[in-house]
Amino acid sequence: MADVRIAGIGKNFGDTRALDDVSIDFRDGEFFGLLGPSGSGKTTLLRIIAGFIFADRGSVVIDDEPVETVPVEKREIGMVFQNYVLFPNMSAADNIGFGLRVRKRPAAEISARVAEALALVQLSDLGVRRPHQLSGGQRQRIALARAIITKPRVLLLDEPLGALDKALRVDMQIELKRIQREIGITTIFVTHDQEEALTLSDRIGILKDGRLVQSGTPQEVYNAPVNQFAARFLGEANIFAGDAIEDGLRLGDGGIIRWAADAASTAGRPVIAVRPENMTISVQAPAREPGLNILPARLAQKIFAGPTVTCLLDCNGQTIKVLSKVAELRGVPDRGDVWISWRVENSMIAPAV
Amino acid sequence: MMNMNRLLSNVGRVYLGIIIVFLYVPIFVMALMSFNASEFYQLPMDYTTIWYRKLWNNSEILDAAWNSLWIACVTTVIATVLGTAAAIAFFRYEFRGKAILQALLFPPIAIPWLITGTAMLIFFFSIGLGRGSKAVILGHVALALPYVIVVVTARLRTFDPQLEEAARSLGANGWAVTRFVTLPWIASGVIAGALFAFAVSFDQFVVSYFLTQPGDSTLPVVIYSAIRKGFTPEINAVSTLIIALSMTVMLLAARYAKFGGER
Amino acid sequence: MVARGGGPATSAAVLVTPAYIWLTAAVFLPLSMMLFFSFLSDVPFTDHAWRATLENYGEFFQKPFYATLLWRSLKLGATVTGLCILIGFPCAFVLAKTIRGRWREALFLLVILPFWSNSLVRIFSWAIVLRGNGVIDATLNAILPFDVSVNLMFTYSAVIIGLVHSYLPYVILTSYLALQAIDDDLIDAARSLGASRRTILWRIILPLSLPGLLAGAVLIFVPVVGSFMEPRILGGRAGTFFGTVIEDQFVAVFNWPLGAALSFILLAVVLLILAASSPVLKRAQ
Repeated sequence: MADVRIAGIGKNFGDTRALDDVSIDFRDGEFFGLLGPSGSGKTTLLRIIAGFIFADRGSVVIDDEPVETVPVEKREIGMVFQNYVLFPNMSAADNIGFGLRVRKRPAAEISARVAEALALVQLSDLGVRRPHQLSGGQRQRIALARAIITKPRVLLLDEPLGALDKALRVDMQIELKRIQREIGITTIFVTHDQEEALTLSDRIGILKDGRLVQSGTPQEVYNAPVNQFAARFLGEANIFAGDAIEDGLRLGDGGIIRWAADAASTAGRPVIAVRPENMTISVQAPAREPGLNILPARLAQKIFAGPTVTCLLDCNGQTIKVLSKVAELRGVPDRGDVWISWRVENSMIAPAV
Repeated sequence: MMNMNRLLSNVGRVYLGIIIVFLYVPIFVMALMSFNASEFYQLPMDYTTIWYRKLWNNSEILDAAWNSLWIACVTTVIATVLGTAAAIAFFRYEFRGKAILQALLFPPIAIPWLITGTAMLIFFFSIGLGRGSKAVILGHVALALPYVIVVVTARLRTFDPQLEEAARSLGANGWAVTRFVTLPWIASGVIAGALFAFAVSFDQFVVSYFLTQPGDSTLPVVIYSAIRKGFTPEINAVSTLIIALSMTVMLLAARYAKFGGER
Repeated sequence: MVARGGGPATSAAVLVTPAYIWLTAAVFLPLSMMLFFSFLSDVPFTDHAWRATLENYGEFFQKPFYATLLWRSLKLGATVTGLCILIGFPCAFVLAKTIRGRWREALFLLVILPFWSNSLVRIFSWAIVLRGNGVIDATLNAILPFDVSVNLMFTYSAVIIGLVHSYLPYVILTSYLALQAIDDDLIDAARSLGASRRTILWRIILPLSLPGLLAGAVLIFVPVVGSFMEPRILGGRAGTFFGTVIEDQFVAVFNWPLGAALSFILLAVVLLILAASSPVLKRAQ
């Protein structure tokens, strides 16, 4: 159980800059999600924290101990790989006990702790099976047990649920969270699936092109993205651009939309981003009031997805997405001129880029 | 069109059959003659095992056979250990000069053994080692090394490098990783490589020819002198035995090398 | 996995060095020593005085005998290689394309197996077969209506037969691997476009398998050019080649410097040929 602090991490592969000045404090016991598209450097960062590769610049400190030059086998970390990477020539129990065997623990202790670990991941009867005799979900749980049995200081997960199908993935997310809570280990995991990041993380860090774009709790990052990329990567966002006026923007067709009166405005040409679920569609124009943004739009398509409906609208040449509950759209025809509206508190301000 | 295809197919199969016959006929004849009582290989056959029994009493051949055997064993052990270590290093690490080192494995195979053998003779003489078993082992290991490395490398291609990473993440250092994770997986490749090394050493003629001394020879060299003096069916007998041994060793090696890829 | 600090680099060195020290001591140093010897007049470390000289190389250029023999060896190499290719490639083709399933593996193994047995013994087996009053005589006499006496021993042809038999599996092996790598879908696509069998062979199969074929050819040519054991056993007096002359220098005449020089000339020729064919060979990898 330890905190991990990385500062100023930079890494080049040949001419490519994989990571540029990344600094994050991972707090003791928290579940931190590193999120980003492919090529954002998140896996490289994880491997630098693990010790498989060393950074060109910057420091890595685990539990107040600088470890930049310490190789992975001495860092006391635990790692779970996307493809489980269980040792094929050993049983599940031997896989789990491997770390203890390497540390030369006595056999009795090893079997006791392996039994404990199997119980923790709820696979007590399967210790004697070989990896090829286990399902994907079971293998992942064995891999997890293997990583944590040595009581590492930090647990690193590299897209751990990427190889599982959807239903299994959701179950495993719950499992993972439960186990992490129970043993309280500092956990850093990498994913490109933003929904997974939102579900599991205590805090999230978004990476793009080797830089840290934003970090914070899921709510913070979701409701107050720091730029357009963050707004679009985590959840969906409709972006409105225009000339800046006091407390808002004037759009190209003359319409005016505002943000909340106490919101900090940014210099330059800010844009307003609005989440689809925060917008409402109505056939009649809503009553004007200072706290409500209203725009005319043409409804082009309704996409039914069970409990929710996604509506695609054309608003002054721009495609807008609105996510509504089925009940909210009663009376709204499938096509035609409508009004979209949202409260000014839901206007997120972001710099133009 | 279909008939033409069928015809060509069958012609092809017959051709293949003829070639296989061509490859095995002399060996078969030689083996047959080893059971023929006639000293001059006259037909018809007069079945006997007298030549094998004579072999048993031929101390020169027995000594040479024993020499060949233990030299081959020593060569196998050394070449397998050194070759496997090098193959693992190539697999695990990137380092400057790696490509050059890999290219340097080819000369021992690409240069005619005549040249390699005579060069070894010159060098060992110059440093005072001279001829003899030590020189022979030095030579045999050098010839066997590239084969071991190639075979083990081929097996390593099926090995997931992340398995080593996983082991390291659990605290295993280089040796522990090799011992508990890498070696179990490549074991079949190592065995195949060892069998190749054994075959290369046991069957080696040219290099041994230049590096052995009379009285302390290897089996192929003794057979060669015997042939030069004149043929006797005893040579057939020992040759048949050698071929049987080599083919068995290679069948085993093929089984291990092949099944290596299937686990 | 390249790291700051000495760790992995040292481990790599530890694993790799022993093998290469061995190769240096047993192959590279000896070759250098032989080069050194080729410029000497006499063997050092003995009683004779010795000095540096170009005489040994001069021998080769002055006495046409050596050049003739080198040419003879090269011709032998070319003949054997050519025959192996002509005989072996169709064989590999049948194996790779016509035969399927477990038969294919079994037959392949059958073809390769003799290759791994002792070459000396295989040559000897040919000596048994080819001599007069032997098997060939008996077989031919059984088939043909008239009496025949065939004694092929101690002829150039015998040497060719023996060498072809020894090295045929090499060509079959490399050609088979190259042919196997050709996607069957490629051939099917060509057929669906209307290509005739001959076109497919000339324009698709041969070009794609050429690197493998040539790799096999080089692996045959090099040893054959330097061979002495096969010529001696099967060729008798008709079996004098460059390789046997070199062998003589070391075993009979004890003129090691001359032997070294001749070896290096052979090596130079071999390397030239390898270098000339390397562009094609690189594609084989």
